[in-house]
Amino acid sequence: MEILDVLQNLTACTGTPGAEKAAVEVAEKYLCEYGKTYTDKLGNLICEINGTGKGILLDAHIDRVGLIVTAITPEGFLHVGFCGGIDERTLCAQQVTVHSKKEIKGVIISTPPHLKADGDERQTPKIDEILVDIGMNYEQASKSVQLGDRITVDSQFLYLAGDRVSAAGFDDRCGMAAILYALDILKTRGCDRKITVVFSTREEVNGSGAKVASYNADAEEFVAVDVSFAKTPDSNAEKCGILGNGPMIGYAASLDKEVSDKLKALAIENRIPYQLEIMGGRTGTNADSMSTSGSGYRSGLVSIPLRYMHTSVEVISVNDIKNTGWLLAEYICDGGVLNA
Amino acid sequence: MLKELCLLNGTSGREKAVRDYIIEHIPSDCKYTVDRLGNIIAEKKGKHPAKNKVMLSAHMDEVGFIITYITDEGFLKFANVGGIDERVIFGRSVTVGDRNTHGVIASKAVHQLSNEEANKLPCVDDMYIDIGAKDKKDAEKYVSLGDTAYFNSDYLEFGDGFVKAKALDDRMGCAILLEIINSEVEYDLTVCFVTQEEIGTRGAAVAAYNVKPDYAVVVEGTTASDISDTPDSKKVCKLGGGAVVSYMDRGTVYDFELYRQAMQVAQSNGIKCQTKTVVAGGNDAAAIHKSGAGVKTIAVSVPTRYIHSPSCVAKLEDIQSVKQLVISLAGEFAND
Repeated sequence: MEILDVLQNLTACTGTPGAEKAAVEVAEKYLCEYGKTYTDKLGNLICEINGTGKGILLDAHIDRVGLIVTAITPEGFLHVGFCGGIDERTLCAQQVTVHSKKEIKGVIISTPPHLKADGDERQTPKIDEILVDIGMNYEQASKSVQLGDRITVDSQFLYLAGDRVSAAGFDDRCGMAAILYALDILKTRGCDRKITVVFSTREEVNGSGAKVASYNADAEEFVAVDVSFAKTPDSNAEKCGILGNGPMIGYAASLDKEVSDKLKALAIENRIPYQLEIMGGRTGTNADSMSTSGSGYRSGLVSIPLRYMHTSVEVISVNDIKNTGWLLAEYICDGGVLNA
Repeated sequence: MLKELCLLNGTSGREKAVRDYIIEHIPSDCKYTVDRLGNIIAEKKGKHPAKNKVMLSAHMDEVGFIITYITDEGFLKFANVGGIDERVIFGRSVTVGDRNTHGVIASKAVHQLSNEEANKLPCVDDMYIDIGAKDKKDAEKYVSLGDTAYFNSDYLEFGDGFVKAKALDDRMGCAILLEIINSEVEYDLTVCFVTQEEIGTRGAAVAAYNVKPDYAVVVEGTTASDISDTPDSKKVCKLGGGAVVSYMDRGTVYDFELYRQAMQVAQSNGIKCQTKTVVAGGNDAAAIHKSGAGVKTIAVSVPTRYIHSPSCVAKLEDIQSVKQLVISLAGEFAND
């Protein structure tokens, strides 16, 4: 599996919360090589891989942050709302795509300096002030765009130094890539464990996709794969992982310590680079809703360190994704906590 | 041609790629020189000799960044070249240096911000470019101090005849003058492509001194704020409203007779034309009109939204209006 191709193809497609279909179609082409795939009522993409023992569920979310059209002004500009917690500091003068029946290109407005009050220059624009310029008047705009259409910020897939790359949507398309990488290793090794893979919807708004998918799945433990904060020059080292230092194994009150301990032990045993991420109560990921879904789950979380989360220039290390996939493969091969 | 010009990189003082492109497109029967500041001064022969010497001028440089420092952690500190709003820098990707190294400008995640931090963007001094380097030594393999950086931005035509690109200011002017120089003109003209506009109209000052024209027409992009929620009086000018001729901006009080003449010429030739409703912006006219013994100078501009950002937006029909008006004015002034 060429992981860079997977990352490029997954980040190239849209898929904001509640409108993940385009990404589901791309992901299904990869997943169907490993087992039976289908989508459920919330649009989750699920792959069932037959095998022995108690099932293990792997989850990564398929949605990415964006905007949603809420109104059209008399001059033909679009008012928007948040669709997930996009970093609004980064929006002025961005090129965007409005995902209507046809894709429409536009630019988010940026107020010129002469119109800003003194001391106002660096103010983050409020959501009401964020308008999208699609180069149309009201009549043209209202024919082309429907309220509720989703908008994503256009980005380029950029190769940075070493193994680092930048694009929008690595949260959590790189988690999906790590799972695909793990499935590839398991297939090569001929491992016959029973696995359910869920690429879940709507994580960026309320995690409802993963809650429903885990209710339906024939499994009793899961490992959620998401991204977490990598250290930047201006952030607090205590609250961050380090880019390139391997998967961040989660320890939290809401996670099963035996799962966390086993992931750590397997990383040490196999000399997989890893780091720990310690959280107080809940994790802010799908792990929170999944562990209490239905009759409950034994739960684990592995995160890929990422810089500049929820911007269109997220940065990750490709080796971190591979090492995350490798750790997941070892965990499943070894039977998780229930088949050990 | 406009697309190719916008995709070239050239901040103030580093206009070489743009200059090379323009020189390649100057017709072979047109003599040109490159002066000490890197300005191109081309003599275009018309069908008739001109009574007055007319200079047309557009600037080649664009706003961008210059690398000032590399941190121990391998992040690049930078300064702006020209005026750029923090809000269009933050969260962008850039291309750095001659080796076209990619980098991004951002900060800690939005989730980790205090309320105060969330409400206010960091200033440029606190921003950095991340090229993915592991440390300073690694970064130095890709970047040297003094390298320049540019916004990554596609050229895009969208909506009802609109165009979006970086550097529309003033590659639109360059494209218009290249079209004029490649067509048949009535009277002799001096066509200049100048440097360093964005850091204080420096190239044009030297070009005008060298050319010593009687009249000058500056071809530019100027700020338009015709967006919803902006009061009409603050919109400055409008896309689709045609060429912009102003009576005053922050750099120049224009000759009022010349301003009236320009408006009159537009009207009698059926060219869409408007003026600015706010005294805002400035351009090479500031340097040219007071050059040597003085030059009668007018600026004809394309109204441009989000100017000095990676996504400048203009309307293609306005670019045509500017071109038509520049041709008409050049003829008028040459034979005045």
